[in-house]
Amino acid sequence: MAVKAKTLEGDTGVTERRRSLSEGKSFAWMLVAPCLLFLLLVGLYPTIYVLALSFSKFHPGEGLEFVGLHNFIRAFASPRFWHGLYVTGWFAIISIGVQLVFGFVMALSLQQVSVRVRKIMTTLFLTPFMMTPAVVAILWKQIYHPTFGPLNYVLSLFGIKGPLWVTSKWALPALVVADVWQWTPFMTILLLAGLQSLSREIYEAAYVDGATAWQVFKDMTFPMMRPFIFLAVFLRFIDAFKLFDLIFIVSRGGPGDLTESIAYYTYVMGFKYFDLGLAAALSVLQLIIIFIMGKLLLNQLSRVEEVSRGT
Amino acid sequence: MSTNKLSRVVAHVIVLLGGLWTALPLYWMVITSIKPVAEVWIYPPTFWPRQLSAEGFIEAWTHGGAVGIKHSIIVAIGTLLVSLILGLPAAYSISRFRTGGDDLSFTILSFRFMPPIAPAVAFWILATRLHIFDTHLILILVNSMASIPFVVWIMKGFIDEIPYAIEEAAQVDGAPWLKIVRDHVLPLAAPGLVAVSLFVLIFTWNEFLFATILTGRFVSTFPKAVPGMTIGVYEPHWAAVAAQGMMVVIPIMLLSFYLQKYIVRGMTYGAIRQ
Repeated sequence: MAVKAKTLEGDTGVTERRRSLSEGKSFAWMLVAPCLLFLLLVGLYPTIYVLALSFSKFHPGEGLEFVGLHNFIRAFASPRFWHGLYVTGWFAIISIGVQLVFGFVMALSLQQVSVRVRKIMTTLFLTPFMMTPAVVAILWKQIYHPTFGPLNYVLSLFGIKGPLWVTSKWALPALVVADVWQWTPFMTILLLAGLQSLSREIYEAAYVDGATAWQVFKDMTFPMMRPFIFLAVFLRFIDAFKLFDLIFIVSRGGPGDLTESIAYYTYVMGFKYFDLGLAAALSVLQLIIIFIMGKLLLNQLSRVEEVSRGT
Repeated sequence: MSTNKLSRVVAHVIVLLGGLWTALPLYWMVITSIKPVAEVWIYPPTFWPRQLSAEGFIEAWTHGGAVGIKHSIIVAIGTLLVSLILGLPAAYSISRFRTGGDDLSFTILSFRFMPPIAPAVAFWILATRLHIFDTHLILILVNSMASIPFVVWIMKGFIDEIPYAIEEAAQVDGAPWLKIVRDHVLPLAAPGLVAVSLFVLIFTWNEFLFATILTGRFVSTFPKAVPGMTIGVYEPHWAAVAAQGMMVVIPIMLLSFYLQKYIVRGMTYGAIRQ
């Protein structure tokens, strides 16, 4: 087919040719159409349904009654809602903070070991977060078992009487530890990939100029790693916000509502109390938050691409 | 970076400690899976099995493990096929033609960010109304919704790297578009396909929430069988769960060893190049 080639400068500074727009456009959309249609059909229906539900009250056996913003008002007025946000936020910040620090330290360390060791460590580190989360959750539940779990036994060897962990005030930190164990390797590998994509030349130049290791880290490595750090943090934040599996299996939101994240609270309202209107309203609020975070993530992703391409 | 002797030693110590920390719970899982059930439930817990037993594996296999693997494979492969068939053309289109600009890209990506709990009720109602509750189909549909954005994003990144000049040259020879893509683009995009396929398979395999909510007796995927394995009334059957974990961990470690490069790229949504 006759194609008029146009030369365009892409954002990346790479010269690419594109098919002439007039002929390419409909073809281009044809390629995207099935994908978009599928996503919209499968995804839009529930989204609209949830939106509609959020403005309604569910009467079992009778159907839905339109109640306007009533559910949203109830959500904001409910202390359990704010508690859920608090739990989710606390969990996310502490968990991600720890993962970031440990991950960064580990990534820097991995840069200084041999390729062989790095490869073995990467294999090991890729495992925890690729395992079935349900299995990880039960594994940790066993580790935390007050009587038969290894943790309390090891503590007892040091003369410390271990608490009941998941049924005590230590429940949330216990979940954080499990999450840290599972996801710090993820951070490590992502940050390591980022470190390795930085150009060597400027480091050599810095050392020739007599910079100390700390100076190099503070003024070069850390600023250049910022987009990667943001990428890692946002990926993890979105997952931490959605956290459900771990809580469901290990602590069931307990004791009481100590470990009730916002996602778990939504689950309880929707599937245990069948307060579908409220559950829907909560979902809408979560969706809004995640959308904002997602938009920010997109910016960071393009910044990461710039850095690793050296533009 | 710094080749200072001290920092190398420190680095090695850190790596060793980190490795131990990560490996210990895994080790615990390994030995729990090969202990007899009686030894799992004793005090003090043993760090080296006194006896070896396949009880855990047998229990896992018969109580949902074998069935779970079968259903998970069906759902995972189904999801992969749907995601690739829908996602690849879209990725190509967005890469070559910048179709829809940033808005389309964000729209597609945003489906990945939906917290599963939000549409769970809606999907449940939808599945029941359409009589596809408790079928492979509903899980494939739902998982595809989450996987397609991933496919589009990563493949777009990979296709970006393939010089358009190759396709142009083939066009000059008069080849039809589909043939050009098949013979020139796909082979070069193969690493991306590997990365993306791995991720879709693993993600779909591990998916727990929708699997639990949208299925009942007939389609029980692998993760769903996990909490169901209990001894007595409530206590989890640790040996069986550990055995289940082993069934997943071993393939994962093998994949991780040989396909590291691809997995890492998949993790970063294709953004980090090496």
